[in-house]
Amino acid sequence: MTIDRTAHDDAQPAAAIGIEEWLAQGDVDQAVAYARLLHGADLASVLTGLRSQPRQQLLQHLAPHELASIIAHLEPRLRGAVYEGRSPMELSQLAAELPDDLAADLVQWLPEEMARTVVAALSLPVRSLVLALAAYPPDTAAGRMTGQAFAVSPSNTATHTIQAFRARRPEAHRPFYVYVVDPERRLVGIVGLHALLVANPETRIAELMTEAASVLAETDQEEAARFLKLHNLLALPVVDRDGRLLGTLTVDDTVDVLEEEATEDMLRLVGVSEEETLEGVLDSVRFRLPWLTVNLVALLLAAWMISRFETTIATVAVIAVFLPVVLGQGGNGGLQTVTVVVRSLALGRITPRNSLRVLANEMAAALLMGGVMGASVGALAWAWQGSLWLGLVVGLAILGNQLVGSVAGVCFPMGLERMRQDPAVSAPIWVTNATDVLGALLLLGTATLLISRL
Amino acid sequence: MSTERGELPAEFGPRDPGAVIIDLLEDGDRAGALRLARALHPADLAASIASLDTAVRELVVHELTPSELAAILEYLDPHYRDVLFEDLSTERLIYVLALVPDYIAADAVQELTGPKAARVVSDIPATAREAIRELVGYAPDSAAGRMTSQRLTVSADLTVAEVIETLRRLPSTERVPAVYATSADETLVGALSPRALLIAEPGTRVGDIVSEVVAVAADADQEDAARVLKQYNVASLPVVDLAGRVLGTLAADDLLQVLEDEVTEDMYRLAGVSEEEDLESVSWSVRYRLPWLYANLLTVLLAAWVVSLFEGTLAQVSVLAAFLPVVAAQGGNAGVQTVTVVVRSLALGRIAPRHMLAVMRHEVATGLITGLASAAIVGFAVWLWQGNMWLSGIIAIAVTGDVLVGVAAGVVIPVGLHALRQDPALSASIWVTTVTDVCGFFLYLGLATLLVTRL
Repeated sequence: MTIDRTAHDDAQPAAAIGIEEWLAQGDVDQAVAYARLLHGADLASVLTGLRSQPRQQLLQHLAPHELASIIAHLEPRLRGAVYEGRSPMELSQLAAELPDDLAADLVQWLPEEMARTVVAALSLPVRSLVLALAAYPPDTAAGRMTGQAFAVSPSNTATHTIQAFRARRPEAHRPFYVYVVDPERRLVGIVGLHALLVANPETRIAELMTEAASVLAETDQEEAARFLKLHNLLALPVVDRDGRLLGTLTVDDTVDVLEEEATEDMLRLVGVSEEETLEGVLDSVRFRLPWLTVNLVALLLAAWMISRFETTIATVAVIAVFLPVVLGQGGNGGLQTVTVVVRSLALGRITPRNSLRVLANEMAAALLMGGVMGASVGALAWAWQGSLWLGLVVGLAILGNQLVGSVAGVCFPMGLERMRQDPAVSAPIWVTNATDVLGALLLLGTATLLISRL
Repeated sequence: MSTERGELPAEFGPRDPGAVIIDLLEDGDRAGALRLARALHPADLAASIASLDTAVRELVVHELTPSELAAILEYLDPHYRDVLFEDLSTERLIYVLALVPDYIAADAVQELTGPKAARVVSDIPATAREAIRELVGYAPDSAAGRMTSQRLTVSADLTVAEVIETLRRLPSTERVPAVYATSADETLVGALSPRALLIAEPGTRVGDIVSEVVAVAADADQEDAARVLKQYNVASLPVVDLAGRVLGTLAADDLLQVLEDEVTEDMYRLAGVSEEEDLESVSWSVRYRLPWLYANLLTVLLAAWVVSLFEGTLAQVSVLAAFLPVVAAQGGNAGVQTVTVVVRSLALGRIAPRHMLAVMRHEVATGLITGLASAAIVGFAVWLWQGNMWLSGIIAIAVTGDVLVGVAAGVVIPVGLHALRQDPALSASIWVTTVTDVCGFFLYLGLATLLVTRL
């Protein structure tokens, strides 16, 4: 059976709208009946688009085994919503139906007391697997991996391996490779399933296997995800310090990791938390206000700088008109630089060692752009106010502030990266702070020097 | 086996291999650099090329054999792939393209222009030309444009043993991404995973062991295809024509790239930067950033014009100028926060245009609290500093008002662009800051003009 999808597939929004309307009209049965007809992935997508109240309403009517088919397709951030308000009994049933890595995530999510009850209700083999996974920090390669990996000895023949594979029946969407391990379970290579399928029955695994790239258990999840992506792998083996195979990180988990990290970077650039759901007002305020307040302090610094030139403004009030232009354009240019630098650092395209190259390029670009913009605004100011000197002052300030923006836009994120801080968190604040204060100084300072000409 | 990046000879320690190659090149040891480049896994070499290290790129382009280059291309980011196509001499490029998967060769043919493209098309081996011809007909950003046409379709009526026999007869199994079972009229019935083939009894009819499969249409947007892959947690997607016949396969690693590109694009577009930027060419950066800065400039000039309307007031009370940036920037900051959350939520499918009212209620409530909190701090600071209650009151009201304007514009503009089927990231932040600049200055200087006798 196939489900064809086209570019603008309206079936899914239709499902979401239908379910949302039924819930709004109080026709929960209809909504639940419809939800049960959907593929787990489609239902997960519908749930993602629902507001939290109807989402909770719908989830409450689904049984643990129905929830199990949704969880893998749901963004990790929303999985908590599924677990919320469930009894330990139901959660144990759910955990038993989930793949081991998701069950371990569930256990980690629960408060300790509850987690113990849920784990105790699991069957023994599942319990030990889940507990082993739950022991790793969630943002490491091991915290994201599945503990299931089909492993064989290099001395096995292809036929023996296929027989063992049949007996084990590894989970449907997980096995992409057969892992080859020595007697101490140290990883020595991998064999693709296709290669195994077409191999001569008597061939030894040692002849079929290829070298395996792997990551250490404690590797940061983003680094592991980038490694998998770089090597075009479907699954990446995770090993301990002695090289022993612990489990595998699969491509679908990698997608989640990379998406989370990207969301985090994008939102952090403007001082918003990745936890934001556009629902809880107080949560949003708590996350956004600190950034706005820090920015405010920076702006007051700029205000102080401007107030130093009060007499100049009282003499030539028109100069104040160009303050927003100089400050705004410098800030915009700086933000362009910060955005490119932060993303390029995340993608590994630049490293702090390239700082000078990047800085030289950005300054050259700023010089060009600042020159062009300074000339146009300067000419405009001259034409409008009839003062060539005013035009010059404004034009030079725009050019100068563009340079300030480019230097700050490279130095702050690169510096934060070198100090092992997240460059996305506060770089834009520092950049706009620099362009505001120095831009005001450039414009009003030159105006004060040339006050007799203006 | 390696745990850090790359299979670096031990004497180099855990250093970035790209850095070691560059050091060797700088010391004039070109042979040593080449030896190290050859010892690296092609994926690691690809990572070194996809950075600012043009020296590594130059070495690779001139010294590696076509088959070594072909191995690297498979791991290389598409943007840098295009750069390599440009850098390679036509003769070498033709050798390389004959060795890479068809979709990469098709990309090269689509990307190149002028005599180089013509030479490549005419001189490439006939077998490769056929596959490429099939692929170049599709838009590069469609599902079919990203797929590889290498796939294996078998009749659903064959037995497992017969399918395995077919697989055995293929020249290389490495390149078979997926096997699909089709009915008599060649339409897709389902996927045959190697797992299913391994587990099933040899005599089983493959139509009975196929797994349900999600297919994408050839003209589907690559981003939609990537979202389907992510949503269904599958390792590959078949691409089908309107009749349901399988045309090719999209692999998870290609779509991972699509998802990453999409994020970069959204982030860059919010700041008016092109997703093609690689921090290398200055003229390229200028070409893309300047138009956005100009558009912004027009809107800032609009704000300047608003300020000029109140020149008389400013001449009378020059301290007012000091707080101009505070009012406008705080409203703009709050607005840009909202725009970013809304753009990302739209991209992840968390909200849709029909949720605009609910999102608006949330943002206005948030804006009211953050606006009042900001206003309290500014108002108090101004009162302490300037000792004028009226001035601090005006600034406090203007800040609160402008934050509210910012969050409202931050919802309406991206959601509106999305509803109009425009990219909400493209220019939302320009419009939002225009609105906050203009409204902020009007509110602030307007109030000050009304109350000018008190200041």
